[in-house]
Amino acid sequence: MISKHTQHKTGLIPEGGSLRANLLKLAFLPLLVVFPVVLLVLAVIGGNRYDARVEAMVRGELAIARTSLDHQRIELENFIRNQVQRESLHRLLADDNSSRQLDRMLAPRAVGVHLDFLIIADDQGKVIASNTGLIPGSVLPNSYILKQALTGILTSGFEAFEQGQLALISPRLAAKEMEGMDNDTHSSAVTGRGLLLSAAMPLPLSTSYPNAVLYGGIVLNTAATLIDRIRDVVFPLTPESEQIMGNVTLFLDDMRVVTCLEAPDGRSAIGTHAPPEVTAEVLGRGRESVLPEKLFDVSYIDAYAPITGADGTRIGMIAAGIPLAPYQTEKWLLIGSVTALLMLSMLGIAVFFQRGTRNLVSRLGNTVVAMKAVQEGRRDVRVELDDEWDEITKLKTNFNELLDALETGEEELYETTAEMELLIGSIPSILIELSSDNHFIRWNSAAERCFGVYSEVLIGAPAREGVLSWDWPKVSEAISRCRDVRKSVRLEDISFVRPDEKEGLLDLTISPIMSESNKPRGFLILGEDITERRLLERKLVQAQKLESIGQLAAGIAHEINTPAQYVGDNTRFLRDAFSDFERLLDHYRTVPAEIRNGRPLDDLVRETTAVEDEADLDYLMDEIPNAIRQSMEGVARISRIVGAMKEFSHPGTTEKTAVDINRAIESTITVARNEWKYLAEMVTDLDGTLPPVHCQPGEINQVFLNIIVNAAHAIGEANRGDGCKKGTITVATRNLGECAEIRISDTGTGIPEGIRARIFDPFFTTKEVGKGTGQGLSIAHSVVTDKHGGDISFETETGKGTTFIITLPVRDSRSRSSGDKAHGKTQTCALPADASPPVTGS
Amino acid sequence: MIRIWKKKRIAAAISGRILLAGVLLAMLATGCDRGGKEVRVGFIGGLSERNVDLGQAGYKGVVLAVEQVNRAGGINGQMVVLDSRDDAQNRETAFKAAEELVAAKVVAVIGPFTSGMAAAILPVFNRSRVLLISPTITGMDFYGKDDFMIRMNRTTGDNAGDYARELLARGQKRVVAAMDARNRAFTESWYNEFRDAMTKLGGDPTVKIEYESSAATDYAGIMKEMLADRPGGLLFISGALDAARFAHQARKQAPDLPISAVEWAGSEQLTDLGGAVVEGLLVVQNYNRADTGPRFRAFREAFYRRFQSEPGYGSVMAHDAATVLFEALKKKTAAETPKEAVLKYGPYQGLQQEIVFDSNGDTDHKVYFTEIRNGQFRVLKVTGAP
Repeated sequence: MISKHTQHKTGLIPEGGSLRANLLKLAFLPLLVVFPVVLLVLAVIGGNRYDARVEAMVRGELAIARTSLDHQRIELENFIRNQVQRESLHRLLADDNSSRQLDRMLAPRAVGVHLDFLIIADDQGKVIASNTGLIPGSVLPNSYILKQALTGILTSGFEAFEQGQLALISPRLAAKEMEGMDNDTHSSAVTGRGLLLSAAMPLPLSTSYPNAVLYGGIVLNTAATLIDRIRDVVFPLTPESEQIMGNVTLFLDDMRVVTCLEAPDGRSAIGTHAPPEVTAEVLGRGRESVLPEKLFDVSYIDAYAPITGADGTRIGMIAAGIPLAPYQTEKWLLIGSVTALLMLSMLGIAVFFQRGTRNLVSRLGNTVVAMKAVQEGRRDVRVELDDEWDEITKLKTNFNELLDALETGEEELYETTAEMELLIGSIPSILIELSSDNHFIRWNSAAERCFGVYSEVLIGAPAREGVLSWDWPKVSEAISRCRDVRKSVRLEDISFVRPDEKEGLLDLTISPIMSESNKPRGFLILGEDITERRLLERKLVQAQKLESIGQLAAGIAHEINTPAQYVGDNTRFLRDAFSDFERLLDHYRTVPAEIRNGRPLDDLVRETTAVEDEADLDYLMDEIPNAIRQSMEGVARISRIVGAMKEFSHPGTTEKTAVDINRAIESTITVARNEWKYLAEMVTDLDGTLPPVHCQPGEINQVFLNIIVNAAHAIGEANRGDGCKKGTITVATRNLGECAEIRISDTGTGIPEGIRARIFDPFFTTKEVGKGTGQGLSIAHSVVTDKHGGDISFETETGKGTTFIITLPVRDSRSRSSGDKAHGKTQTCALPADASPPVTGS
Repeated sequence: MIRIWKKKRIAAAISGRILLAGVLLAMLATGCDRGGKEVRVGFIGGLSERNVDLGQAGYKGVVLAVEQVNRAGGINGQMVVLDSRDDAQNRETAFKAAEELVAAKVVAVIGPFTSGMAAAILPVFNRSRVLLISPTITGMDFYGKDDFMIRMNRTTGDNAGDYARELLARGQKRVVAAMDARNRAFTESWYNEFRDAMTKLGGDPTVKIEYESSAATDYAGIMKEMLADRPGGLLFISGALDAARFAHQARKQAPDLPISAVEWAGSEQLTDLGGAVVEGLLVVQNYNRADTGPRFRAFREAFYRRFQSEPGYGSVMAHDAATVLFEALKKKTAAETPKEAVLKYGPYQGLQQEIVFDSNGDTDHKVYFTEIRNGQFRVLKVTGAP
């Protein structure tokens, strides 16, 4: 039988639960958390990093622009160096009147490399020749580069020239500069200063021409072509590139002097100024600066670097910049792309997971169906296996194997259960199982027979008053006790009504069925209808009593016979004496007549004396009172024996009454007298303070009798072969307060060690066949312990004798005894301190 | 301004950027280490004013070495940052620059290039215990001293001795020298060594004409003064520019008198400025311009690519100095100072020779006697060790 609990456990998936939903939750929950975090990180850090990258890119472009500008310087330097080494130049210089020729030579060379000025000066800085129309001998402006060259060193670099200085190297250029500035919308901001890239180198010293330097350069303010060239290097324009066209600007101080930056409407940015913070950072501190700024309503990100003059002072700036909008668009496009990518990934994962979980769930589905079928009791179902070989397939395989095992196991279980049920059914004892909440779970056929109630009616019903015809309060109380103490509780003589409406008695043992957690999960009641046994027991006691009485009868008859005999003899003597007295009386009645007849007195006296002598009157007068006394004694004796017998047997008395134990002992001694008097002296030491003991007198007397008779037999056995020797039987009583103690000792053989444990067993005897039934001590034990709640034990020493010690509770304790036993205690009465026996059995 | 942002390319850009976005994400995820600390190395040399040739050439050599070492992964992963200062051949400027470098916590400084500047700044470095590696100076004042300056060059004593032998061999028993008092630490030491060597080797006592090199220097006058002593040869203990100018005057006033210049003058400026007037001038070069060995050739090509000019003596020496410093720093343990490391981890492979330091940080150096022929330094003989 499978309990409800196991059925509950087979419910695998609770109603409404979904493995698929759980799997999807498991998959998406982290994504739902990660997704916003990634987006946030991307937007914040990624955005910043992107900005930093754009900044780095602009810095890179600035570096290219600087390098490019520096290349212009190097190119210029190389050009100057090449020109300086030209033989033609040396030749012309050697000729004093060649100034014009030199001018003519310089002009095309300057044009060829886009130089604004190319001047040959002497070592005093006075013009020898120029491409700018300077008058020979005019003094060149104070220039660091020129000074260095005059010292003897090839020098190139940037210089800032005032308008006046510009005029000294090229009047035309200065005019043009002014003109250009005037036409510009920002001319008011322009001061006419020029930013120069120049180089100067001394001509090789020679003895054929004077010391001279070649000085050439570009006024960057007008070098739109140069700046476009640099821009093309920094932001190369190719059909394949997506390069956003940036701009390159040169500043003199903070003013834009040349730039490829222009407004959407074509206005030039020349003459506008850099933001003050840039000026402070770049010109003031000499550091690079990158910042976004707005020019002509367009946002740019510009990088600035200082332009250091040849003499080491910061004279201007170079800037490279790009419009910010495309990069910002790109930034958001990038973040958008990543977002879209993430969302697409999410979507992909979602679809993938959805499909995956559907597949998983559908693959698990037939397992669930099979499980449900199994749960509903089918055992022939098996899960169909699919082609994939994974944990699910393993699960299915295992499940099928489990089902196989289950099927086999259930068959075996069914058989075993059936066998067990059969076995339980055939147990003659009552077997009842109650659940922890006192419902009938099991009710075997013995119980059915006993109560006349079928299990179908009772199983599942609550056990309570009125359901069964047993003494429910006692049973219920015992179940409660069993629940408390978690040990078996025994109930005896529980009354119930048998199917035939007669009253019966039950002997029940209630045991807890302990769960794994050591709590009672039910109770097992094992019981027996002891009605018959009780009847038999009663009959057996009676029979034993009858047997004893039968045994005693001869002795008792003998006891009665002796007084009866001498009462008879005395009576016969009195009858004969009476005849003598009759004859004597008859003679005496003749005397008066004789006298009146006158018979001689002497003769009469003689005759009377002869009659008296014949009658032996003296003897009669002596013996008759004795005979009467003795007869009366004999009758009294018989009367006493009869009384004792009557007292001993108490026929039909099964109820407990207050009994004077001392008197009961005396009666028993009397009744049994014939059994012991030839073998032993009887010594009694009876405690006069002993209170009446609540007991069944007939059964208790039987106990005393059995022990006394055994004692006499033991003494007889000990003294066998010496008919004259007598032993002693001592019967003593003591008042122990709650208990009465009766000690019956003999000086017999003692109980051999090997049989001490068995002497209270039924039908155990050592006596020869016909002399004992083996029931005496067994019944004594049963009567003392079971029926009176007392105790019987013995002390024995082989060859010296045995003492049986009986303790009986003064008040009736039978009703308590079973319960007390359940608590593991036996009610015993305190023994005196000196009562410890040499050997004790019970 | 031209805008080349094409909106129709947005779709293409999206797909194109997705990969970049992935990389960006990966970088965000991994934290994207941008590299460790930097190694700050100082440079001090004449970058302006007179004698700018040596300083600028040296600067270029150091810049190239720094760029090369950084491109190869830096010093154990750390990038080298060059902090350079101009001493302008001025003691005060140099002193200030030295203090600035020390304050900037440079691990070592490459420079200076002249003994005068070394005398000005060495106390700053000795006090701060910061290593100074001078690529060029030869002054005897710095020889054999356990200070915080390591020299890459041989001493004036070595050079002066070699010059004396060479000039005597060329029959110039009586030599008159023009000595630039602006770089007295070098020039005077050089002159003394040379005079002693000449005397020792049987030459006449060498006459010296001191002058201060400046824009106003009267080279013609000095030359006249020198010639007044009827010398068998002229010696210019000066820089390249002055040597060229003296040569110019010599050619004018005594066209056939043999001229020589000390190693200090052996730079490109000598030929650039000198042109025809320095033809036949004897000058010692600290490196062999005509070296065709792979190491020097690679350096020369790299140098030209980087600066569009030929490396000078200062460049070669400074490059070697930087190489020595970087090699030592790579091997340096945490417990060692840069000076200890440089002295411990030698010898080092220079561009043209192996560099071995003694315990004072002095080294010998191969030198090349050259004569200017057709504007080129032609090697006559090699002298010195190793």
